[in-house]
Amino acid sequence: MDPAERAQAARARVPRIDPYGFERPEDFDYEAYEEFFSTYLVILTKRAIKWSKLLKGSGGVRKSLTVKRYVRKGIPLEHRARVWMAMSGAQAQMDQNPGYYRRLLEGEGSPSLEEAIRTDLNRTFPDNVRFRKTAEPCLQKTLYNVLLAYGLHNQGVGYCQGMNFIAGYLILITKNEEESFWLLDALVGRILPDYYSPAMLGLKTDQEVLAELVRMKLPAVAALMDDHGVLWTLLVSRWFICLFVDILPVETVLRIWDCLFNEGSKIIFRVALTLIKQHQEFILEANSVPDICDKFKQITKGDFVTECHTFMQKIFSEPGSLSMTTITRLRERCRAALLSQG
Amino acid sequence: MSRKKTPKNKGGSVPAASTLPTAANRSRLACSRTARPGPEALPKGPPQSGRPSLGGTGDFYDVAFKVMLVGDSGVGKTCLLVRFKDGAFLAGTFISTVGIDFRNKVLDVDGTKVKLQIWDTAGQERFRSVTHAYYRDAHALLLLYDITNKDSFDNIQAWLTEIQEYAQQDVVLMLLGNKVDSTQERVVKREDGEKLAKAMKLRRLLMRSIVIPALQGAETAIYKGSQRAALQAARVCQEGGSRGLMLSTLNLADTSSTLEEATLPRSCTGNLCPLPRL
Repeated sequence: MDPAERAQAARARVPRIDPYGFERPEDFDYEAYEEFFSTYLVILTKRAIKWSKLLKGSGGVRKSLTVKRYVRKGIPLEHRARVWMAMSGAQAQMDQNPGYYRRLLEGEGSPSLEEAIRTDLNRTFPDNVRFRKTAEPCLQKTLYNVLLAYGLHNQGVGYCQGMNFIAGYLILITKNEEESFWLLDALVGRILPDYYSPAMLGLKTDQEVLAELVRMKLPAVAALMDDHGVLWTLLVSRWFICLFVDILPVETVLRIWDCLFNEGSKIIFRVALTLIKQHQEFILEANSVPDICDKFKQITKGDFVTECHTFMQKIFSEPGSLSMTTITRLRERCRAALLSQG
Repeated sequence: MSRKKTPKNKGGSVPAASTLPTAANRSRLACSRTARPGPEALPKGPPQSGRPSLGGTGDFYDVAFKVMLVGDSGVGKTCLLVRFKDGAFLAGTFISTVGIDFRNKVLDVDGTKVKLQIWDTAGQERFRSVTHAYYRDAHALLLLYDITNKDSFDNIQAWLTEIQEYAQQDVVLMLLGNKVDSTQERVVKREDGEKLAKAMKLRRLLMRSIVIPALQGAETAIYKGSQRAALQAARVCQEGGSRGLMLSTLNLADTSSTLEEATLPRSCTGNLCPLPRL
């Protein structure tokens, strides 16, 4: 077979819509994906057997070194919702507050909140068949409920754009409205430090923390940014706000989230640093601001990020040590600096 | 801390692309009139010859302007940008813009290659603290509202306050009423848009009206509508200087265009920086 025929054959074998309902993009490399998936399938099968044993034994998931190792190697899709719920504390919250979610939706509304959410319903995953207006059941209604309940629950945050994409993924994985709500609460309320409140101080802080980490670990890239006067927010704000949704391939995002729910927000720095370090030479070729921006878009595409299993191994080796003590210290310093700037 | 620094001019007398002109370096920009490769040449694109490209998206330009799209969430900023950049109109394919992003396009304005760097921003209020840092070196701000959404029109005042605080005094400001072709009921009358522009006039705005003939064909009109708006911004950026304030109205085919009116007030500050004359 010549290359064109091989590509054609791969295109015929790989479904046009992925397991989560997303239509594959026009320029999707079916052949490369098929090649990757044939090896990944072996890993998935092996992991599925291991996880079944683990979950059967203890009856629940408790944080331990074994669980951490297992999670880093990927939670099988069939167990993902249950494990996320357990690790993040969302299950415990849901059990302690029976009926709370329903009461939020039945209680007093908020017209401005409702309007803000409604504006984004059609603009959340138009490329996913389950989020289409015509889909049956249509996940737009589920998304609306989850976001509305969350906005009413956490009034200091309300609704922030970006949460629509996160809630959307939670709904696709859990297939359950109430669980999605409690997982969103775990992320926004506990795991991520104040990314979505009106001042977005946590987001701005973490962007600066990333800048500092790059300065420490990849000084040449930091120098390039300084030379061109690039603000990190221009390059990475979506990485933080959307937790890589719509930036990295779906499977890769889910693998990142596995660790995010178990190990916390520092995983985001590991991913960001790995992307930058891996493509350091490529980034350093840039000689203008638009060039830098373009390169930062390109480094989130291609085989390196599609091959999620290898990618996840890399995020724990490439950036080197990244202790929570360092992150906490940097967060305090950057936050203080931001506050003093007004 | 990655604080924004004054862009350095590394390329000798010709500014690098990072130094998109600010009030301070506009005079330098005037030196870059000779057609030269835009440094943001797409990495995968074919190598360009040493003469200006003839197409609308080439890598060569005589002068560059930074234009920003602002306005409430959902008024159609990204849609306008995509239509302008690619001529594409695919309803229901847009996703909410998070943060800030930009695209480049080179336009032919009366024989001059004008590169517009168009910045798209998230409309939600809390993102303003992230985006307003970029107002400072913008040449033009395209302020959009949705004619089917009263709030988006009422909020124009708040946007103007924001703009006054963070943008250059002599920034070109353009008011656009979007979604004329929407099936939803219109709630902001055309006159209200005009009135708002006139209210700005009360604050010593000098106005001028340009009527663009109605365009043929829905798709073309939509594309050309966005193109005209950007072209208009580019033109005003160039005319700039001592002309002071301007208002121009784009009259597009009523039935087929999303762009209703474009008003271009230009603040009168008395000490305007001369823009590059072409």
